[in-house]
Amino acid sequence: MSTSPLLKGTLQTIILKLLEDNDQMYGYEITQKVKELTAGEMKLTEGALYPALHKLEADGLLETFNEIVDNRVRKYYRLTEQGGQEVTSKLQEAQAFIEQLQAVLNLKPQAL
Amino acid sequence: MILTTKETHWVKDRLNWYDIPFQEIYDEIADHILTGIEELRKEGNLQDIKIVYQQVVDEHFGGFMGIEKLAKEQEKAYKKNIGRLIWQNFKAMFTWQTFGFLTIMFIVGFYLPPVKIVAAILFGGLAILSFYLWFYAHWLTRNNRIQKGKRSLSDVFISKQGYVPIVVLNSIINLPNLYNFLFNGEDYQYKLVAVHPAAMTTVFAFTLIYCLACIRSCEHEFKSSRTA
Repeated sequence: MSTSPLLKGTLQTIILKLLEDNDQMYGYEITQKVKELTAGEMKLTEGALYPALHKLEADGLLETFNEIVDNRVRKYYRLTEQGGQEVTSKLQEAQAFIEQLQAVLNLKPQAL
Repeated sequence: MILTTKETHWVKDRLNWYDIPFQEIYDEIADHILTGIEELRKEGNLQDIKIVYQQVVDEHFGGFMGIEKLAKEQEKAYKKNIGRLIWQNFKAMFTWQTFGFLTIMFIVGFYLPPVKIVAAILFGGLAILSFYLWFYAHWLTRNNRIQKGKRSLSDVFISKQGYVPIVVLNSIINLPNLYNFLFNGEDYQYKLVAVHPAAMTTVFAFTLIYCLACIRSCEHEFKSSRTA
């Protein structure tokens, strides 16, 4: 899927969910986690990831802090209280959208 | 695999070729690239640092243009974020106590004589507030590691969005007084000032509240940008 436009609408939800599961993450870690979870099918470009992270930060859903790692500054992102509350509603929104998409496109979930 | 000091320095120096004026943005991009290179090394890519660096930049950022574009976007996002933070803090400052303070300042203004010395004192107070904000932002970020030729995002934008509006607003308010002072002759000190002191004390009170909002924003940003 790589940098599909389909990904754009769900990028914020993906980030929020990852941060809910992993407490705190840095930019590179997020891209690698997405790659790992989708077996390399979904690749986040940095040009999409960082603006999304900063948008979420500007909306008060994420907060940041810095740590020195291997003698360099690393910026970590984590959910704010508001962000934690937002994850559930974003996931419900995504779930509803997927169901609607399946109904409209007459798609059936693949049997595992 | 941790990169050698020489390799790390090469990457950081190479990144200095790009137009990334702010330290925080530079640090985040540098960390991303260095981590990417380390991961490739872990996977067994032992090519020269210049080659591995280019691979990471091309794959992750779409080349050097992508880095500069990202840096610009991050700058804009940060500016917006600071603006939102200051505005939120400014709005939060408006409690019944601050309304009371504004009212008192407005009433006090009517009891002040509309003479040059009053205008000068109020203008001096405003100048001190503007300077204090600028100084405070610099002081808070004094321990941040800033490379030569780079600036701190929080320092620059809080200062810009803080003291620049204060200076501009108060310059406009005080322009008529300044005009009187410059063009109304030597007897000016005995003449009435052009802007009534009540207007000046009210603006002073608003400025003080805005300054406090900026100081809160400074502290919030400092908390985020300081390194653990």
